[in-house]
Amino acid sequence: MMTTSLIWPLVWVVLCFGLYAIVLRQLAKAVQPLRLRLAEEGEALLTEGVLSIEEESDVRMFLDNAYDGWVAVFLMLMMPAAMFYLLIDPTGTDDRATERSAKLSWLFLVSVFAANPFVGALAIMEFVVLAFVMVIATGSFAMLRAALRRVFHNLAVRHEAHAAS
Amino acid sequence: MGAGWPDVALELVRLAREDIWRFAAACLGLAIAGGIGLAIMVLTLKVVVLGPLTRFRIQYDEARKRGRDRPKQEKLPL
Repeated sequence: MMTTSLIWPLVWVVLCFGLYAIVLRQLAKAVQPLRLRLAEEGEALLTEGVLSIEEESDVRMFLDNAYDGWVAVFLMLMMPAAMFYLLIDPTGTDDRATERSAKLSWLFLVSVFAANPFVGALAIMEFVVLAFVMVIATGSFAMLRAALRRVFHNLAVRHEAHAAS
Repeated sequence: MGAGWPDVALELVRLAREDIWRFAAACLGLAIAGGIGLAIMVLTLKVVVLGPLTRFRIQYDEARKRGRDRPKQEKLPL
């Protein structure tokens, strides 16, 4: 009786782990063309030298962390704080990013979701709730985009500091 | 499905009190089952995820290199 009671939880853990591993691989396979586009376009954009210094550091962070599963965790933790600060101080909500770097940020978002689908799914649920609150509070999606950009830039600053040390 | 982990822990405590040899055998069984489970998980991770991810990563690095070289290539005909 004891052996069966020990075996079943272990079987479930192994099965769940295997299933998650398959989901991780299939998602990585699905987003690989998007990641390659992010890599190629991001590097080309950096080489062209048309970006502001702020955007350049953002794009560099996108390129270096496209496979990092921790970014989804940081996004989930930092988004509510960024939105809260933007609600208190809405300056800087104008979207100054060029169209191409904005596209890269969406590609990066998809890429980090695929790198950590479990936390990524939780982050998406959180974004939906936050977007709902922000749209009710401000009447537009601009604040959501601005908060996301602020979080990305925050991560980029940390990334550059880490790379410099 | 059998009992849950709290029942297993209670059973182990009972065995430890009543029969030390059966307790030792149960602990050994637990360790072997855990080891097999862990080995399966590590193998699954290596075969299912890490192999393809390494290949994807190499493709990604190549794409970055292509992106860095793109403006240079475009300038060549000029």
